[in-house]
Amino acid sequence: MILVSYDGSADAQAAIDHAARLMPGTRTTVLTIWEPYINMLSRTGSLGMDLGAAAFYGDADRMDTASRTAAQATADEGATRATAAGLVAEGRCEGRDVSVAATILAVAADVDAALVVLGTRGRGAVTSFVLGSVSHAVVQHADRAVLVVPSPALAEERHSHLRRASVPA
Amino acid sequence: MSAVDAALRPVLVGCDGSADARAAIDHVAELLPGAGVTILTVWEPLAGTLMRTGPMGGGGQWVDVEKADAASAVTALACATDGAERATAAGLDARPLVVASHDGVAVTILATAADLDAPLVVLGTRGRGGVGSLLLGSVSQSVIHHADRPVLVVPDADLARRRQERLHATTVPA
Repeated sequence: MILVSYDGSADAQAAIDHAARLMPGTRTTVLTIWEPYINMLSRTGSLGMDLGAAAFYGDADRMDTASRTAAQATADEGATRATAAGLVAEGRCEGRDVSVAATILAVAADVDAALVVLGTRGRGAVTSFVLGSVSHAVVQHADRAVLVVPSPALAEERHSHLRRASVPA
Repeated sequence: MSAVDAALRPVLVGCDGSADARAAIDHVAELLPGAGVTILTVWEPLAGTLMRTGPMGGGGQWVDVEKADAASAVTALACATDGAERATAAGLDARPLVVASHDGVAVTILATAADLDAPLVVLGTRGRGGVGSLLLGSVSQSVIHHADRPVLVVPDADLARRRQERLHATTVPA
């Protein structure tokens, strides 16, 4: 079992494709993380300060249900893509715990993943949870193997840098 | 898991002979059974070490640079060969490779990966500063930050265990 963190971005899709090419036939959990509304308010400093936000408190459950549903749809879309690419995948969504990295690692432990796959520089339509800072935190704290997949654009940019760096002066 | 894609180029595994490199080799054997792997050991020519660390021209004792470099290359080859033997025993299709570093270890690993068109670079880690630290080693960190291809980082068993204890006890930022 491997775990792929997925936010629906093209870069996260590229990470799935890489994993499929490297490990065809592997059982895969495609994870999309959503953020509970109350959690987002406290994180962004709006809690207890913004009257407009306060008006939505009563709707927190409804908003969380919508967030969870959207996240599960993204995870399922990722799983469909992963299955088409040759993995044996299922989608899973999870509410953000204290941090995205901690949530990813907790799910990895839950499914006993041999490997956590992360794209870098993902830019989802909504909030991306596969950004560089998350990859960094996961790699620094992971109690298991982590595969970091640079986005195609990032890979190309770095490739030309490396070629220049390795040319003797 | 099904058979590895025959068209896949060999995976590049960085090996410095430490416990973490051995863990990385074992993990690759588990994840990609039967895969082709190149076991790379990078060594640094003495002139480069002296330039980097400063004592060049400092009036220190002269050493036989050629002799020192030959010894480093031999040690590196022994290390890569040991790694390849471990990989072969674990069912991988392995060959050793030794490369002298002129631009730093991380750049050398990535330049070699580009030359070989490796689909993946694998590194083991024990954590920076050895026992007690949970952070990633500087070479692994540098490779991830400059990599133009996927990088697999494998913590050795001891680091994994210590991080697991930490994960249960505290919170992870970001």
